Amino acid sequence: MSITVRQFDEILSDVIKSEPGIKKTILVDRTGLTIAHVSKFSYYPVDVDGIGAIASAVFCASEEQGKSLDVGDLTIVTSEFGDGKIFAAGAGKGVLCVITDKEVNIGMIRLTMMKAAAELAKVLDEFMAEKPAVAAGKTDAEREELRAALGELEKG
Amino acid sequence: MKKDTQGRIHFKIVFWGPSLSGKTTALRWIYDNVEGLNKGGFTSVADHTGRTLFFDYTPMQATAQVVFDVYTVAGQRRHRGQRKVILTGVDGIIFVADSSPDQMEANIESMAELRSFVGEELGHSISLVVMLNKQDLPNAMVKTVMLAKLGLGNAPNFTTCALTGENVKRTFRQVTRDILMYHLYPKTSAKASAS
Amino acid sequence: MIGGKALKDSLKRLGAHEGVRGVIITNMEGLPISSNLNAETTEVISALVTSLVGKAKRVVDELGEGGMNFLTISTPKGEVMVAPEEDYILIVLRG
Ligand SMILES: Nc1nc2c(ncn2[C@@H]2O[C@H](COP(=O)(O)OP(=O)(O)OP(=O)(O)O)[C@@H](O)[C@H]2O)c(=O)[nH]1
Ligand SMILES: [Mg+2]
Repeated sequence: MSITVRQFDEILSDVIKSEPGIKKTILVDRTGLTIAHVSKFSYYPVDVDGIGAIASAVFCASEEQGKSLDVGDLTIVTSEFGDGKIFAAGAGKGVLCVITDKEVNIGMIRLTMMKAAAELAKVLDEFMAEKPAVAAGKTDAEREELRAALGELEKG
Repeated sequence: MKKDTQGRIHFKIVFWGPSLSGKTTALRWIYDNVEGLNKGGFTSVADHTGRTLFFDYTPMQATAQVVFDVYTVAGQRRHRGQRKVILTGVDGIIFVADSSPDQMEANIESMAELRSFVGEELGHSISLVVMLNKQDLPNAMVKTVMLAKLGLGNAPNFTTCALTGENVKRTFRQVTRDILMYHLYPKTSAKASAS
Repeated sequence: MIGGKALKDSLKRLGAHEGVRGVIITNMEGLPISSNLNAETTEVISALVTSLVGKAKRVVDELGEGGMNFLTISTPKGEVMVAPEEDYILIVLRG
């Protein structure tokens, strides 16, 4: 694991430990791709990729809505359910999503999330620079992986 | 194209097209029928009649190192904002046109919106494959007429029936192939023009 | 619950006391209901103090003290006084 990847896990774990009642933290980018996630209990059964995709989409859609209403930058989206809450905060190129029990200190979670989001935004920038998305300049290993995928698809 | 923390390469594919053209049906068919892809969960944000409100999403893994994250958008006119969000970071688009004659206007409108969102990239760095769906309808429009009206004469295309899966797999294979080819040989493979 | 006008009045009364630097009323979720300090400070204090009250309550329970009425934190600047009620917490900064 590279240093940046470990940093994601550390920051997400710190968020979970910061307040009782936090069950899961997910970092997702703005295209819906889940980057990292940490659970309080290892047996917490969720489809992380699906949850992450929704969290990112919901946050970005709220942001769009805000743009058309001219209400400034979006910091946090809170969803309250009968038995729990979901928070999503902008973290630079990503979105930090926190899933909690029903009874939690919302104020504390907001503060913790905003602090963590600022840190995550920085690490994300490093991570994305480390893994350039441009078509040019692929490593041989990457080309090999793409070729293998191509071969796999031809088979089916 | 993106890499995740485990070093896997991700490509994002979006099914685009007007409401009820068959985007969800097509993705569902692939999910249920195409073997050889290691599929994750199927996430849907839809209303009780099955019309998509935001998106469908399912990750499909081709090899240990390459994953396609496949989405459909919500076709109804009022979901324009949601569509724009889903399009972020897209690598390949399957445009699902409805072959019923009374839906031709909706097809054209949807294609115009897509062009306004992605512009010049369409058919170049963003692969495009056209699915002329519902070809099973007795009054289905003729392929060449539809492509001409959409200004898509040069794009790879397939006549399909998403209900039976006719040509759906071929469409999907084409877009995944085009994406991979573009990333392996960026200069030579940008052939499908969408203008 | 505490009504709007009554709340404003008691805040005013408390705030007018000698040496009082700030008065905040927060709900049990750490979200401020009313305050005479700026928004950012209010948010931070509400969140932190509510968190502390939660922990202190657990300690008091463990000790079998039969509940918590009041919490005072003595600091170089003066005092942070915390009165946890049924569904809100009153915080007074003094000194
Ligand atoms: N005859 C016929 N019907 C089809 C075909 N594909 C889809 N349908 C039907 O068309 C209707 C709409 O299909 P969906 O897949 O939900 O459409 P969609 O494009 O996802 O629509 P939105 O979510 O509103 O954007 C359903 O009743 C399908 O059964 C096809 O190839 N032929
Ligand atoms: Mg749909």
